[in-house]
Amino acid sequence: MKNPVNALKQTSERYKTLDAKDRKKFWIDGLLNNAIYIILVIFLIYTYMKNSNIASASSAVNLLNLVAANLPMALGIGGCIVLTGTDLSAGRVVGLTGAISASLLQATTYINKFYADMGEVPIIAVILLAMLIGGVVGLVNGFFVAKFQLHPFIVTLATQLIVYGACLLYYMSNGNNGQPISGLSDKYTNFVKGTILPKIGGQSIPNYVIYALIVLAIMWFIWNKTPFGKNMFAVGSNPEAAKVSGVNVFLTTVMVHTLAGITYGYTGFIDAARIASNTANSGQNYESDAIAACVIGGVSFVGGTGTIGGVVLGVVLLRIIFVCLNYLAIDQNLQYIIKGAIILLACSIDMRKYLTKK
Amino acid sequence: MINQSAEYLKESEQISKEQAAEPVKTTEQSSGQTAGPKPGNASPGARRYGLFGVSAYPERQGMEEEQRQSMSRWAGGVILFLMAGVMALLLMAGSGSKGLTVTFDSQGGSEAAVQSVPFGGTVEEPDPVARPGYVMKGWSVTPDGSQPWDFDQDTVTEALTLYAVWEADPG
Repeated sequence: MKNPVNALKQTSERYKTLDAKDRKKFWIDGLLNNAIYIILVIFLIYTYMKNSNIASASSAVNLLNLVAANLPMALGIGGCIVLTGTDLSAGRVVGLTGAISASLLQATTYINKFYADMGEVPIIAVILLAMLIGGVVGLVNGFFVAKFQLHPFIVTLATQLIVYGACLLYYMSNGNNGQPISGLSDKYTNFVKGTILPKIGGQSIPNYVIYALIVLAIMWFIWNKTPFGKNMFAVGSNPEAAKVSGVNVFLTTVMVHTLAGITYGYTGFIDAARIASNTANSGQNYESDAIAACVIGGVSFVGGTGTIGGVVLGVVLLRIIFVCLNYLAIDQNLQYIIKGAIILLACSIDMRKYLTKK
Repeated sequence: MINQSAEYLKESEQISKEQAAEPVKTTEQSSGQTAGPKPGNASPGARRYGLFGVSAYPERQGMEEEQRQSMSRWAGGVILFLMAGVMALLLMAGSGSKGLTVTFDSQGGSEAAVQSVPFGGTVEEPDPVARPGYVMKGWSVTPDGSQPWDFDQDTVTEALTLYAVWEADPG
């Protein structure tokens, strides 16, 4: 890790040697490259002025929870973006796996039980099933992308529709008639939302924060310490060169998408308990948040660049912005516009860095 | 960790350069499979197309310096424009928002005034409401009183209605 104090010293040394024209460029580059951070600081100050509740323990824990809920998915999509691709099916996979998890883990005493005659299902089986379903969708994505060199935009758009259709059918099946699936068993709710950590400032931290840390550690290991992770970056940066140097491009691409699918399945399992009342629209647009977080965190669409730390940073930054919007009680509809503008902004910054790079 | 993969990439690029120097079947075939880069544009060994035959970003290597600068200036302008736009939206929406509305349903008792509470704030306990023949038990998120509201601890995260909970007065 770079020492921030030393880095700052070096920058100021370098700045002294610049002439007037280069100094102007230095400030303009600084402003444009750090636009997101500048917006973030202004958002925080403005929000604090309007509603000082944001500087509280509950707001910090709330932020931590939101980051933990959104991180695994962003890590999955990050892999697809490293391959210069994307994944639009993510949100709908979360919806489907969430519905399946919730329906299997309803309280046995609940009246409108989805599977009325079924006893208790072990939680571990359900989480594995959710990850399996996500993984299968990812596998299909990866197969079409790798075999036919189709752009993931098209492939995942198709699987998004298929999965959404399956999700709607699932809600209509078993006499459920499209009703929300709720009444989850205490065991399941406690597994996800219960707490074994000590309270911070009177706020309890749910278990899914711990699970998110575990997922983070696993993904860090996969990206940085396994041949698969290195192949992923090689393929993303230059597929031709990777192929020539003996990397199995087909297998790597399929595996990246499958891994991404597994993270969506996991997110579906967690989200079903986190949100408690699941409808067919659960998970909608989750992929846009995850893609935005990756781009903000420096996982470039150029391909082959990106770090786990960057994805974490991107998720945190994006969540802080949304928490600010919540604390300002800004209209939900307007939040979509701001979200879209921030994605475009992040892409423009990324593009500008790419173009000006020597 | 990242350095390792960077070295690895350099290595692989090196290999591809070597391969490109002497035309080898594999590169020929694969460039034929993709849409096929314009000949003469890309330097040997340079990244030609992404994994999918279409690159998300324009090819930097094959670009004229002038075009690149013009695009980067445009990108700078767009960044400033979007920054200003996001800020303007924030200020506009922030100054207009009045916080979350908390309404009180006294369920047959006297009325209590609506409150506007900032996100994450606590609700001020309303003046006592009265209902002849009943004793006030407190306020609750649900009409049946199953989730009592704690005015000191509970914070507001969405617009909500609080219901008065009554118990028949035995006296």
